[in-house]
Amino acid sequence: MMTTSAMSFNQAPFRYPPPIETELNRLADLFAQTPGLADVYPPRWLAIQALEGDETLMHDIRRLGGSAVAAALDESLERLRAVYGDDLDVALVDQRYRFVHTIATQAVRRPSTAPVTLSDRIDRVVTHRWLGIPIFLAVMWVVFKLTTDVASPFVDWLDSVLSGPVSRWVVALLALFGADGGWIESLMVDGVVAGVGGILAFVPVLLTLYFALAVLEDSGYMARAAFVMDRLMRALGLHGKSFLPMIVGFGCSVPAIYATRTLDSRRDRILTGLLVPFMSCSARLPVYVLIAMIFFPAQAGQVIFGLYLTGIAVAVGMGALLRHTLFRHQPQTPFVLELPPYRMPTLRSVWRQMWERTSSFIRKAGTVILATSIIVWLLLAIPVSGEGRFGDTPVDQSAFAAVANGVTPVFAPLGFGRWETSGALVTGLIAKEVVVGTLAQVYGGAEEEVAPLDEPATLADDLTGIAGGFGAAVGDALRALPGIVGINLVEAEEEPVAEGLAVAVRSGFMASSGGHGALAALAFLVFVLLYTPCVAALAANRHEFGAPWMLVSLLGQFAIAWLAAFIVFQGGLVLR
Amino acid sequence: MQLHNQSLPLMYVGQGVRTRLVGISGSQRTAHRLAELGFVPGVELSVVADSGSALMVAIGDTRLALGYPLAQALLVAVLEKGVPDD
Repeated sequence: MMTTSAMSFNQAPFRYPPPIETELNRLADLFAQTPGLADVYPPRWLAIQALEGDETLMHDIRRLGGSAVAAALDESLERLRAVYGDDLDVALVDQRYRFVHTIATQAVRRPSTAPVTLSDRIDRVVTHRWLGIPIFLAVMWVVFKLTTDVASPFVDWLDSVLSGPVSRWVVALLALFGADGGWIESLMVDGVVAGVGGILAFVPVLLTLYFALAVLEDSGYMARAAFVMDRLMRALGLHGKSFLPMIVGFGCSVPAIYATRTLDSRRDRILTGLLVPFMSCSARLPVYVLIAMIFFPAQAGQVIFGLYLTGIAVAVGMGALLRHTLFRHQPQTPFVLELPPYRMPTLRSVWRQMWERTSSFIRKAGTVILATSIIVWLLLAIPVSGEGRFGDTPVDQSAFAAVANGVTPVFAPLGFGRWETSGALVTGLIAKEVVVGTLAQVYGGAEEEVAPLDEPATLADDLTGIAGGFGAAVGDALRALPGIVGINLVEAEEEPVAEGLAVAVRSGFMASSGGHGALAALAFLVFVLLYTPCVAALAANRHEFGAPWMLVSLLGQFAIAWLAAFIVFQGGLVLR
Repeated sequence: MQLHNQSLPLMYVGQGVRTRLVGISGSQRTAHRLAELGFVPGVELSVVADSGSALMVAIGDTRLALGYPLAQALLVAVLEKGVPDD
């Protein structure tokens, strides 16, 4: 074993064969004497890069070094080409590998024929041409079940803690300063606590999703999935490496857009970034559940699954379209991916990834969601007509209704041209699950009421309640685990949608669609699936690809969503 | 190299067959890229899996996925018939 201090790279006696070495020394000396170059690059390294034909650096040498240096470089290349032909760069690389090989053979003893490793044996099954995709789909199904069944008890628990004890504490705290009962209480409870709740509701889902992704990545399977899915990804004009961002997109578009950083070319990054939002993110799910339970109670599952498939189909179509239009002149980069040997993931690394990704999402999206919740609260609080006061105005007389009314005509041909739904879609830009909250607020009102405040609860009661609720959530999550492999211990009990809200939503859609409520609801769901996921995704888009591409994404998605919803509603009317 | 007489693209040798790289066809860019990854003449290669659009190639202890166009550029000579997979 060598100690680190003994491994000095400078002393490695590594030299290229004589013809190359002569030219390298000649060029390195020349570069060293050219201040414009020597100040920026190490001379020998620059000489090696130049002989290997690095275009950017060659350009720099000619620009910074002047004509004498450029001429010397051309002469050197000329002399070496006489010896190596076009394979000069390969010869240089080859020399380095030979050097490594020499050292390795002295240091490592191994059998003459490489044994078939366990990793290879696993790969023969997992990456099998026909078995690979079914195995992958099974793995993805387990991940999907984990993020929904196991995370949902914790989401419910968080929700009940925030709307119960935490809201009560905020009110009690405000009472200490004599500020309870007024608009400040409403701002804190309906604006801030509800906004924070919107962010926190993501946490259990994201933690589970990132747990699953970290295990898949660290074990080495994710790279195999990219290999297996390469063939299908070609339909999108992308290759296997773009696959991971797409999968992350089912959880949340924001980290998915950041995940495009692993791709090699800007073309692939942008194209992937444009397609990722069509993968139905987890925040859209509550909207599907609400609307599907109201309009299609018997086929809710099929409707939701159909929406996921629609998103994928649209991504395939858009991929083909973009490949032949905007990206026509940019050829696909070759697919190269290293597949690490299978390993047991370590808890520490898995936890670190879960935490880093979840917390970075909270930081990035959290502030936006909170800020927008407060803006929506403000719009709802400001009366523009009628007799309401600030903080106490009927929803249909608020500034919110006025703003929503302004955009409503756009949605009329889609069957949901009413201010309630268009308002919900506008707030849906903050985060998709806000659509549910807004619909409940404008249609139901009473549904969103915080737990009655006259409930006699002491701090101790609250704390035991919170702890007990968490225990129950852990129990529910554990009972849900066997369900993943097909054993169902808990009865599938969907929470029924509150009757008042269901009736109000149904009559709202009926009124806006001329009596075709179900069709309008379907068009609404398709629109929710396809339009911009949220402002956080737009911010990520701008951060990664720049403002012009963000606009392409925003406008493009809106146009596609509008068209698709139009086709569903008007097409449905024709077929009826 | 005495194995030079029978070289063919890696794509056509089938899984589990031990081969030796004898050359790289295609553009210089491709050749350079592959060389950087360790595909230098003389190295031993075998195909572990084929996804239908890419090959998983064993090169030393490394496993690399290569798209078909790249696998097409690798010219190899067969060293011995491996055990067929299935």
